[in-house]
Amino acid sequence: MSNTNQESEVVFKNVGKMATFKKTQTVILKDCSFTVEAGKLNVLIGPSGCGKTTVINLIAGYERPDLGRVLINGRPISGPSWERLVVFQETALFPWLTCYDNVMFGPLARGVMSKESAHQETVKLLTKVGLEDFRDKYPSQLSGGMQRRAELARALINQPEVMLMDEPFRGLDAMTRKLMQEYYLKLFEETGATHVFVTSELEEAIILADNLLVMTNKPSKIKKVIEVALPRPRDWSMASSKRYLDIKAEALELLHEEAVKASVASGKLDVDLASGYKKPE
Amino acid sequence: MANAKEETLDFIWHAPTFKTKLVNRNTILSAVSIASLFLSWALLVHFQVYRFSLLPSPAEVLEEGIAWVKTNVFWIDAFATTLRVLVGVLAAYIIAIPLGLMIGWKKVFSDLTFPTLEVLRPIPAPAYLPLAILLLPTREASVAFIPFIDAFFPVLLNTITGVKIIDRDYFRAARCLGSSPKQIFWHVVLPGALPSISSGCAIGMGIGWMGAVVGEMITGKWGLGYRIWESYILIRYPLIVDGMIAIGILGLASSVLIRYLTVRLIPWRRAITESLDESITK
Repeated sequence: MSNTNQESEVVFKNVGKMATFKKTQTVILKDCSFTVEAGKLNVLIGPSGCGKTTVINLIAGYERPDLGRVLINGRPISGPSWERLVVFQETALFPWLTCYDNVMFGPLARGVMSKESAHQETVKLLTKVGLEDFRDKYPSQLSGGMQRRAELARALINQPEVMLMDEPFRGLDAMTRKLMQEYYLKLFEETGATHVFVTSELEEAIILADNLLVMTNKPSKIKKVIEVALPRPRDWSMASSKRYLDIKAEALELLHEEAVKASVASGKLDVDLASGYKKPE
Repeated sequence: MANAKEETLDFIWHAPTFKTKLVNRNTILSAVSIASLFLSWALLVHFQVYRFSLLPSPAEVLEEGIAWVKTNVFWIDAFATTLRVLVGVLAAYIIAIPLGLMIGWKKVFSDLTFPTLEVLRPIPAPAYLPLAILLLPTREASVAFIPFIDAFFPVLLNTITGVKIIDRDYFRAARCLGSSPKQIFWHVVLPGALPSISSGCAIGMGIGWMGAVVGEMITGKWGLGYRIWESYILIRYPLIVDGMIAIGILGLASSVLIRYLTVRLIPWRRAITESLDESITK
């Protein structure tokens, strides 16, 4: 797989998004503006339930903004497309297809590759993610980590302009998670393209990210964009560098503020404990 | 413990593997269960409990049954009923499966057809018989119409449910990987619903047998249902029970056959049970 991916920039302009849940309407995103930098690994981090998945759905084209605009390379996003592929929280590999057929699915569905070249690409990618011996297994026969890798391969074969990763490593055990992060870093560094990665794990966020986009509570916007600027290729040894620790401290403070606000807003925490923060009227 | 789990899963997804040992705890228990049925029947008749004195004993039934099987009558009866069941039930599959897939998949289709089908559903199949006789060209067709109606709704409802329980993420994934609606139908809707369709087909086959027998009792010149009713009128009571046993065996065989055939179409479910087995035995 070569670096032929066109690098795309996604821009949110004053985006507002409401959601109706049990007949009550909540504002999820309010006046949310930011840029997803092209060719970079952009990590979205924020308190749980702050609308990170909504951002992913807006970029994927599953949802439309109620206010404002979501632009890709200056054009509004009109619907789902293989150019913007999502790797879901839970695996969405087709259980009725083998690992190999799952990866072949995209190119064959779109009819853009001959069967022969799709086969070659598939084998190449499966080898890259370490699944060459498991190509004829069904997803149910694979471990959690293998499933995520197969899913990465299924997305990457389409050479999407934007990869959308919605907490893809959630639910994996700590060791597998670490391995997956290393695999993912390697794939990103080799293949390029614009990546948006959603997570609620700060350490994962920093080690992966070029840009760390910290979100506020609902109604959410981007609180701050931190440029990580650790050298690539990355590995976990950098977790002890000064730069990493500085960023971690800064991000923790930002996230802690939001967590406190969230607790106050939901009445879980007393105002005194919240270091002088006053409950909004 | 591991063995018991394996057996249950076996029963659900690949009923007859023919690889499992012929004599194990399960087969012994099944034999005990059937034997106790025959034993209590024999005792009830022998001691003339209540009106059981009117009923034939197992020995009489066996004797009459052996005589019946040796005649052509039995084979024509069995063939006639099997044919009616197969024609009716296969017709139900052919119509109910595509219809159910469309109803489950497309809201418009569901709104358009489902209310009508819900009104028709509670009407018992024999109630259709007079209309079937009026509408259909041959008497054979009108008898086969009853298993058709009987099998139709279980297959339809199982198919609809099968589509509805497909995870939305599969549709999303297929859509963003560039599938056309036609490809989504063939690669997501159909395979996703197959396990449920498979059970619907087995249930429909079983109910189809009931329908065919009812139809034959009302209108028919051959068939196991007709033979049972005729034996009652001619006071050949042992043959009634022989007819019942024949229906039971043939009905069971056809359900098992359907399961055996349909699990071939869903190898990934077998993969699930196998990996379950592995994790259990480990």
